[in-house]
Amino acid sequence: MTGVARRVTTLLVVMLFVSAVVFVAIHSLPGDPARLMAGPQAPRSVIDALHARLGLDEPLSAQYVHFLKRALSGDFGLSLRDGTPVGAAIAQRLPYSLLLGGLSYVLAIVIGVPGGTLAAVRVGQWPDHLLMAATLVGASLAGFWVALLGMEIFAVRLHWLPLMGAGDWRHYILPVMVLALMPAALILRMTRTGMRDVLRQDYIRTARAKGLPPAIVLTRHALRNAMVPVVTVICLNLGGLISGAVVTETVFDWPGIGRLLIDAVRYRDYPMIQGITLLSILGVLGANLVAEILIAWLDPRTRGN
Amino acid sequence: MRRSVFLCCITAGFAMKSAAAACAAGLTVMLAEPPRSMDPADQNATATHSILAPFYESLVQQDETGSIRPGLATRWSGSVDGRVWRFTLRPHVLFHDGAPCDPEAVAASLKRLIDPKAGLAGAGVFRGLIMDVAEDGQDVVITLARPYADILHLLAMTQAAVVSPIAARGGTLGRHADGTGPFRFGDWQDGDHVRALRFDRYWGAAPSLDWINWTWSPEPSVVNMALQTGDANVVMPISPVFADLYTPGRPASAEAVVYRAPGSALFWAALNTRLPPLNDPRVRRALSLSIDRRALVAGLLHGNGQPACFAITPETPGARGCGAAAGADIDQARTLLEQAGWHKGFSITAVVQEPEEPIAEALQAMWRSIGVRLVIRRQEAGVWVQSAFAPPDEKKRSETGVIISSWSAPFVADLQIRPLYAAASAAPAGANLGFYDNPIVDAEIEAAAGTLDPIGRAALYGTIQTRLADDAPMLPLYVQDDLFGVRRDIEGVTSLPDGEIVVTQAHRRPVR
Amino acid sequence: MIRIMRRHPALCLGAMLCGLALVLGAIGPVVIGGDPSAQDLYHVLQPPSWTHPCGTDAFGRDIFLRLIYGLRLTMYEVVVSTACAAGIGIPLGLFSAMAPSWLDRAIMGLSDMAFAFPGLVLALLIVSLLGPGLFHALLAIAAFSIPIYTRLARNLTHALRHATYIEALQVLGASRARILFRHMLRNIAAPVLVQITLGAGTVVLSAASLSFLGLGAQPPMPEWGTMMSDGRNVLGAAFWPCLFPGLAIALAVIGLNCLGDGLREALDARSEQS
Repeated sequence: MTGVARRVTTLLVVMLFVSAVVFVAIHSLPGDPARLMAGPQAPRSVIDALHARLGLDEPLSAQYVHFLKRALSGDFGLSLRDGTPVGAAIAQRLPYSLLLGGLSYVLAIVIGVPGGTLAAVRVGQWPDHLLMAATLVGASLAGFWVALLGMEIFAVRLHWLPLMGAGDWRHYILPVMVLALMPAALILRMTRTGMRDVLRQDYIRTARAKGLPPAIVLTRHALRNAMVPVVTVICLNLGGLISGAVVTETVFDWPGIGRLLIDAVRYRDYPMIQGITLLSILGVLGANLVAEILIAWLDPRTRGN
Repeated sequence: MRRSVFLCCITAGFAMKSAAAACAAGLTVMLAEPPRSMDPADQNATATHSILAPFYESLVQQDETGSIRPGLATRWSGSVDGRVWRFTLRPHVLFHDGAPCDPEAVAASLKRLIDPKAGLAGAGVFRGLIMDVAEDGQDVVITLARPYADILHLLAMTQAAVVSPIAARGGTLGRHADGTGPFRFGDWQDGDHVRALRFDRYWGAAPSLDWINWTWSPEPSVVNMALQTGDANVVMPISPVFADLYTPGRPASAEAVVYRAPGSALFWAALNTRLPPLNDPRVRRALSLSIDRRALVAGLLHGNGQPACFAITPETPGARGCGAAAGADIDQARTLLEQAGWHKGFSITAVVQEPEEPIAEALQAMWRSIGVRLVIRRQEAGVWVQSAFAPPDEKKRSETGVIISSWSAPFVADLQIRPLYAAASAAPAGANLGFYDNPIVDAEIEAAAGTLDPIGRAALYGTIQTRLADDAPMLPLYVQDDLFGVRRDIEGVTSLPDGEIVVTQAHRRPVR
Repeated sequence: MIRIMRRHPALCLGAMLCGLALVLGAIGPVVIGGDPSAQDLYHVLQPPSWTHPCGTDAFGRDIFLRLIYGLRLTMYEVVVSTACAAGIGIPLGLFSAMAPSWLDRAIMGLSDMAFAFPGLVLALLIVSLLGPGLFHALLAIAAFSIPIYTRLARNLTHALRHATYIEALQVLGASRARILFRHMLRNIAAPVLVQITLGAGTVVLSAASLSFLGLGAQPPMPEWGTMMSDGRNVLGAAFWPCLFPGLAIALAVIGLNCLGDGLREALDARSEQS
């Protein structure tokens, strides 16, 4: 447990460091949100008044101290664009992103793990070649291109699926499939590699030699160990998933945090960019922590240290 | 929320009459961008105006032809010198929160708008012009700092809408609309929708809709698809490239109709008159002459607009058309450049936002024919405003020569010219982005704004326009038509010249 | 030759696609000629035909011609971005492997953290900071690819450090630099080459994503991602401005991935044989 505690402390220190870097970076972005709000007709006096109201006239260090104090009590400031609390806006959008990301990971695992196992068992035969070719193509397509073609074909021409936005289950089909494309390919390949390595191990040969049915050998002995690289991919690819979500949410007009981020960058909504960036880093670092713990649990060899 | 709409449409699809009648209750409208605020005084965006219009009313309102109609005021009169305006209020009008809309509330609302301490984003044109607002019995009296012929048009703007004094004091307006309009605020879910519900204690005729659901998407193709699939009943604007899909006989025309209304947004390229070689009027005129405005309208707007060669938009009194000047005159342009000593060509830089980027790309190709190389800097909204409104020395440092954008101030010639050409509005103070400075034009702008006689005013604006076309500090390009799409089962949707969509009077076509 | 093709079909397909791209990019514009920026505003969005095999775009420009010219930009993207990422990442990884263990841990910790950072978010911040433009976008892409090369180079070198022959060289008194550059670099070259090939595919995709979000190439560059991004504005009225650049990107990335995968397999097979 002390290992976990130490890692959590490291995570907090890293977050503090990262928050300062992100704060400075975001506030040195070119652009002026006040001018944007006031519109082109506004005279200087209106802009100055807005600057004062938004707290943008203070020195950067003072703004950071303010931010840190409030952030510790869970207050990430107000959006410059529409005055909503950043925390509330993120909390409201986050479930949409989590559901989309979660479902696409589930789909990726449902395709990737059995697919990878099949490929590993049939190495060098046609199912293996077919699956490998499919993952190669899948990992080579630009997500938004697939999304746009999917929308054109399934929503506009065939009217099978709704076009965009969030709503009932049918709204999830296209975005989940698009977002699952890359992780599915990755997981399939990792499972295949991991499975191949495991199947060559002595203890699997022993299990086979004992006369255990192949299905049992596969699921009970091999799969568990082959899962190590898969868990690693899933957790470490969270950054990739977030990147994918930004694009996918933009195309599908999905009310998640990816689109919130794009809008915030466009309008120079500093507190919002900051909140989302920090949250995504926290998420990624947290996922790494979970990955380490999970791998330790899955793989007895690493348990000793 | 969306699910109920969807279920509704399914039932309507099965043509059950009673169910269809129950569904006739609402309307989903898709815009290009989300609202900036629920406070009419704290925003300056057309899409936001559309969303706020059903919630709020102003003293007077402007219809699609530009005539002023009664709003919260039933009668009004201006003093002979045009500085004092008296408005008689409509009695028994209630805000959505139940407060009465009396002269006190109207005065408080307008005072809030011009209050420097409130720091409201929409205060721009009002502060400095409105000097005092007072109540007098059932009347409200507005005193102006100087005579201003178009004050009624200004008061009809969304920014001057009357807000509930209780909500204004409570500071909740930004997130929760509270006015006197036929619809009251339902909810605003970020990134998803704003919902308006019918206000049952509205003073006027009750609308037939129970609710309006506002959604938005920045993707033009998504907006078009939403109209075709029925995800939205009304879309505004629909990109010109899709307008042809809805011509009778084509498949999409069975689903929806695209309406075209003459627009008021004038697209232009402002030239930095302080940056050589653009400080030479001959060079600026050469740039203007080498633009084929007819091709811009054909290619970028797919014919849905008009070429513009002068500063005032077509619907405004005193406007002038292009005539033969709509095409390019490359030879004349070359001659001018030669006279100015720039026949070898030069290189300039344009800053542009994403939606106007195609204009820059078209100009880039056209100017290439006279040896002018245009470097395009596409910038995000927040960055663009900063570079566009930068002062002369900063623009010189960044070598910003051309700024491409649009301007919309329907029917009000003064607001189409003063902010863009008067020396006093030179950036960063105003939108004279190229720092044009001509004392003669300045004097004429003042004279025209103070001339209450419409014919004399139109003549003055005629003179100003010719002068501006010769000096060419800004190159007018075109006026784009407002295009909006409406599903076949909806009637009664109109648009205003500032690009606002009006759906409060919309209703479902009876089921046959 | 045929035997190689039978044994490594992916490698061959990849080499063919990449070779074709190189040839087309090098001589295509010279052979075909024409101006990829020439507009015809009176004939915009013409569907594919014999004169315009991929149709024309929203400015009446020939899409096929632009795709061919765009190949050079794609190569430029791959070269600049990969050179930056590998040029910083690999020396850093080598250094880390040879450095004292505390420094090694610190560098690798930082690198893992940077790797975990959502790439597009990082790129978004970098491009917003520097201003939009293809070169800045490529720098941003390079920035989030560095840790991959660092980790790879470090792990490979670290494993080699205790290999018998390296230890023997040390005993024989070979200088550190000599060991590093003569022996280690040569030994890690093959896996790094595989990573560069696979990474190149990611570069093309990432550049397209950034251009799609309006942060990449500036007009009138015939950059594929920008072309596709422009095409999405007319999707529904015309599919070709979006379809063909997307196909071009997909083919290029498939080519690079096939090549990388094939190379890896071939190398694996070789090491298994030995």
